[in-house]
Amino acid sequence: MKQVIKVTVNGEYYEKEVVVHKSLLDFLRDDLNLTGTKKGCDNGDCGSCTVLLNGKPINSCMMLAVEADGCEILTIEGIAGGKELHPIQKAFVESGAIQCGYCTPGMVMAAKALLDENPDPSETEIREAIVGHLCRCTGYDQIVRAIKKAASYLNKK
Amino acid sequence: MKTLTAFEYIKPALIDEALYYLNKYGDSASILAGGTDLLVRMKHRQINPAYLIDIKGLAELSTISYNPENGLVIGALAKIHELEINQDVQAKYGALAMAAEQFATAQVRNMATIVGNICRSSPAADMAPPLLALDAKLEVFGLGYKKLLPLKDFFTGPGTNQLKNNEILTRVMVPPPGPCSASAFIKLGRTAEDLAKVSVAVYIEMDSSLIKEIRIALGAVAPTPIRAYDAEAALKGRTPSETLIKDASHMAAEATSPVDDLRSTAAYRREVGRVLVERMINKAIAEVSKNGRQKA
Ligand SMILES: Cc1cc2nc3c(=O)[nH]c(=O)nc-3n(C[C@H](O)[C@H](O)[C@H](O)COP(=O)(O)OP(=O)(O)OC[C@H]3O[C@@H](n4cnc5c(N)ncnc54)[C@H](O)[C@@H]3O)c2cc1C
Repeated sequence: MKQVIKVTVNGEYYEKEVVVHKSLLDFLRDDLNLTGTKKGCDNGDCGSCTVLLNGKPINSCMMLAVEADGCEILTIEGIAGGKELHPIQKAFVESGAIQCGYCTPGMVMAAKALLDENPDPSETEIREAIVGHLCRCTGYDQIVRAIKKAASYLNKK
Repeated sequence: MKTLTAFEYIKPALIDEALYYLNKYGDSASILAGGTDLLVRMKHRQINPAYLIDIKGLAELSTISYNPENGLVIGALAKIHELEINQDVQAKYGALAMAAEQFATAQVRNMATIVGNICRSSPAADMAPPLLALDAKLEVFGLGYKKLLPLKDFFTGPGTNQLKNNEILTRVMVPPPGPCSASAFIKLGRTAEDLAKVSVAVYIEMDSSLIKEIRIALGAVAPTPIRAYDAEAALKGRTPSETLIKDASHMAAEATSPVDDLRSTAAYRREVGRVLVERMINKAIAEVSKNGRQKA
């Protein structure tokens, strides 16, 4: 069974026919070629598939593409301004918060959701915001530092 | 790769329309709410519904509302995150607010519904102990009827409950808390996002120095979330003392029938259940007297 859905992804409007049993994650990666969002556990445990749905972080592996009909989605591809990295991305690079990179898009999206709501989070608040993300290189401290640094960049603006 | 197998997707806009499809397709249909449990079980081939009935179009079930006469009403589409940030819940239903705050991850809290958690009926469901302690009722719709079920009789075994395959749980109703009352919740897990090893919720209502009403509920220590009725009876109408609370906590532990599994041993669960019941009773009593002092 197929159905037409209307979604806005990274500011661009799409009207697309999609198989109803396709996850939002597979739709983004395979149908829209937005492969920045990663598929890790495909179970909601690892957080690498995190995107913002109407501004809130969700696991795109646990949602059907048809369920996102009418929604606004932001993925990792949509946060930089042209060739200019987003301050969160810049802080991640500078803090050595990226090793293999697999968890990074999800971590950056979680950081964005956090900082949009809470521009000056404490370390505990940062750690709570990334509870749903696994970094198998175990670079959590650098990631926490990067998010702190990103907050300071964003607050200076 | 864990892909989903094909199904038909239906998104009704009205409760009656959803009931029509549930009656038509019976066991081959599943209700889809937040999907955080259902879609994962479908990927693992634990269930294979031919029809998914997405209830997220039933706009009338989307809210959480509170008024002093009727208490709290939680619609079937309300997400855990909405409970977490609701100010009436924070002010009047402490156990529920705490359980929502500690629930899984930010992503799951943005997707998962409170009602889906109750319908899944896991012995470890985090919404169950607070709602049991707060004496919640469930509003259920079937084709041509509506009924109210007390949550305390709802669970029938691990993953099973009184709901029929052609019914929808539409709302959870939580009565208004009593005047000198408080509730508390604690969950012990391996990690923040894992299911509970043990969870405990307590509601207490005082009448000067006497315990007027008390309800104690535990999760992950029996085939279903449970109430500790004997312990409640031992405390009701009495003046709380250290010995009384310790004895009652032992009785609560007696009411459990835990299992050994990858998260904990049965012996650990029973012993920790006892300790946590004691702590939550003391916490709720302390909360009542703190609130009393603030009012005075
Ligand atoms: C990573 C992860 C972490 C988790 N952590 C926790 C945790 O900490 N604590 C916890 O308790 N659970 C946890 N869960 C389990 C799950 O998220 C919860 O049980 C959640 O509340 C289910 O709600 P849902 O809206 O996603 O339900 P769904 O998956 O949509 O549905 C669950 C079941 O209920 C039925 N159903 C849903 N709504 C209704 C209705 N209105 N009427 C009748 N039947 C209905 C569905 O048909 C299905 O069988 C976790 C899951 C994941 C993937």
